[in-house]
Amino acid sequence: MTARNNSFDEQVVLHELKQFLPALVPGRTFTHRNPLQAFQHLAFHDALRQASGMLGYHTSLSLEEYRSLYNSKRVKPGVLEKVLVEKKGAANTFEWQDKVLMKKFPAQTCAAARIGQLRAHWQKQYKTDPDARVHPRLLRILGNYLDHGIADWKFPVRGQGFLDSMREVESNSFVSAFNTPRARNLLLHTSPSISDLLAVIVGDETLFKQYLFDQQFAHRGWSGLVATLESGGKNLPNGSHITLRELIVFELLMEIDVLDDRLGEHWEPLASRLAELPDDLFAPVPMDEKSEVLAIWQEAVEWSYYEGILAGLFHNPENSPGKTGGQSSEVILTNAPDSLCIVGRPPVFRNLPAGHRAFLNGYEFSLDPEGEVLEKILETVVPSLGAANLEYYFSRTSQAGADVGHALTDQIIGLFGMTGSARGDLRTGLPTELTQDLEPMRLLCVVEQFPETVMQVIRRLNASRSWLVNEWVHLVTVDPVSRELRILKKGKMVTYRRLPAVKSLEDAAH
Amino acid sequence: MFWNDFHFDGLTLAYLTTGFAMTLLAVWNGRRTLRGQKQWPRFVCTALLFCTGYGLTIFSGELKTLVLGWEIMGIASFLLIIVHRDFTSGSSSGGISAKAFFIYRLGDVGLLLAMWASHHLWRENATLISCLLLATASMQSSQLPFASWLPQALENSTTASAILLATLTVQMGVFLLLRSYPFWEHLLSVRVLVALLGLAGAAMATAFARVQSSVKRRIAYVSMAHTGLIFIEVAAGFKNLALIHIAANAFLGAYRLLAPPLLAGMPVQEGGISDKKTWEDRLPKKLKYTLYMLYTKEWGLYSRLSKYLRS
Repeated sequence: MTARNNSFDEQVVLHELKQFLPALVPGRTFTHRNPLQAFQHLAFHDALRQASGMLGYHTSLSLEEYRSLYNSKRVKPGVLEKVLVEKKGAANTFEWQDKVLMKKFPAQTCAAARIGQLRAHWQKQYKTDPDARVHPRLLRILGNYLDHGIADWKFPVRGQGFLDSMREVESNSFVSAFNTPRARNLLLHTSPSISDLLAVIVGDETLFKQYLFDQQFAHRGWSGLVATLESGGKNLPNGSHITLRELIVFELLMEIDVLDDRLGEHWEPLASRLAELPDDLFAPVPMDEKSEVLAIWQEAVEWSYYEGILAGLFHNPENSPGKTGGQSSEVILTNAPDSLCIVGRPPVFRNLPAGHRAFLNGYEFSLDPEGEVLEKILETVVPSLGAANLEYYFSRTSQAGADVGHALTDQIIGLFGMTGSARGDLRTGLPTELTQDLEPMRLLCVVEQFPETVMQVIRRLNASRSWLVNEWVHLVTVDPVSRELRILKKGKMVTYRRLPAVKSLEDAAH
Repeated sequence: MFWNDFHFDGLTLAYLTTGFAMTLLAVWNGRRTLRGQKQWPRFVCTALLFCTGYGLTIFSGELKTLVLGWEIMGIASFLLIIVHRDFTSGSSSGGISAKAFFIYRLGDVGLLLAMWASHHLWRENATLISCLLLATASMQSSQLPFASWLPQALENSTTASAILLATLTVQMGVFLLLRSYPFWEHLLSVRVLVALLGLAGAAMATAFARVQSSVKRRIAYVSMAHTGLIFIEVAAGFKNLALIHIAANAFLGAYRLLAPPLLAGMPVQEGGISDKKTWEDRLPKKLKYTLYMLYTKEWGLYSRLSKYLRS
């Protein structure tokens, strides 16, 4: 994935592209997929950095937002200090505290992201922007084709694939979707492969993959919808179907059409005029100070919240459960749906501070010495809850960059999606109303079992292993005998040192 | 004297009532969505400016006052469309709103010419003046041959309030026709021209609306189709019917916009409602596909207009 590959394999690239594209289901039901699924092989904070550097995603709140959370005491100073000590060592804490709280970083813009850099050369070298003329036409045709019930007169061809439908219309219509003959003939008389068309447009095979990513991420909502429809295997209401490949082929044809129209019949492919190669889209994004600061803030937000819960759950568990819980819940007003999951015996549940929603799963550690039951529980619970949780997480952070909030009138397209932007792409993620007052936080999974047993279980896990080991979900184990807490960090169980519980409760009282 | 510049009659009253209700709706909706955001003061000021322009126009007793109100209204509705644009951060596209603005200004040229002509050629060339007025009216109402700005403006305006007020300005084209009605009442050629423009516009907009899969564009085209019908009504002399139609059209548009959109949990049934056959489906294949493609491309109106207005 890191090195530029010389040969272009259509199937492989399409498969990879589908991993990266956002999952979008018609009618805006939940998709239950990690929005950063393609980055899940990386540790959480590395993945955030990679996704924002590569695709321009907003994967964290802005520094100002974090700092205002700190000023409003949602992030506790003690927790921040603890995170700093853990990440940077006691010696550097002071220096980093200054960076975290005070330092001004140059405003990082989306333009820094690598996606779109290659295709930006159309503007630079040829003084033309194919998207400006392809998108309105392409998206209108696609919208009409996918329509679930807005238009009175539906797409006239039914029960066929997208390219076949377009071919049928083209061959029988006196008005063409294209303006020039070459693209039309390619559609009607050949069945071009993606690499044939890319050879015309881009020329250099090493750039094909990056070009496709650039192209599809220029309307990632639509592409994501098409990819989801394809993988769902379900037909549209009128019996038609569509694949991502068909969309790409059609879009490439339209690009040829627009370029022919603009530059005449003979133009050199993009690669032949490149002065220097664009940055490799897939190369690792290097760590910088700002991303580290953001990671520290994120951990501080999360642990400020978890501290309260863990204190409530395990502070003197046998003696005064209800009272402790009641008190600490007053501090935590966070509206965080699905950010807590407890696997353990009922006495553990009972101490859950009031006002928190948690997913509770009854589990008796003594009946499961080898951890088979736990394995099954984690295997089902972690990916589903984790995905729902991350969907909220990234829907919230993606708002951070958008200057306009919910005041925008969304535009419903074909009953399958919304557009909010002037560029006409479909919205991804959850509706703003659901996430606007939310603090993004990862799922905390509390398991009552001996840490050694849990480690063995984790080694045996399949689907949920990367979730836990790469810290997309926090895992805390409670030793059933000693009541000691441990956290899974970088693949190891680390003893959890809580802030003095009494102190945090005193904070609560004031 | 100054007061002679103003005029009040049934037409003013009708427009006043509709405009008052729509502005209230727009401000109420704006308050709901924009309150507490940094755009709220900007929105209120712009809405007030719009009201001033609207009021001046409908109370105007002669062309000069009307032009003044018209100008203010044009600027205000342009500002409303872009109320969310943040000009400090980079160069976000101003192209689309520039298009609406361009057509507005073009309309003003028509008005100014009409004003000039009415001073110099009064009675001598009534047809020319009528045609200039008609051109302005059809630009304002997004009728043929300037039909394409409304859907784009609606698509790009960021608040429902801006759209409500934009639909109000669309009705001002008809106002101009009604206000100048006594002037061209006796000219059969002008009346036929108005009716034909309206008929063509209504037919075109209906066809475009039928293939739209995006809700806002569909609203825009439906509104355009109704305005086309209103043109016919005015040409035929049914002034009261036209007024009722205007109010109904405005409120229907508002309802479509403000009623909460039903997207979540919409049942998508296979072979259900959405697979209905329409009369177009019974056309011969060639004709059917041609018409569909033609409507989907919207006669290339946009690409043509965009070509001239880009850069």
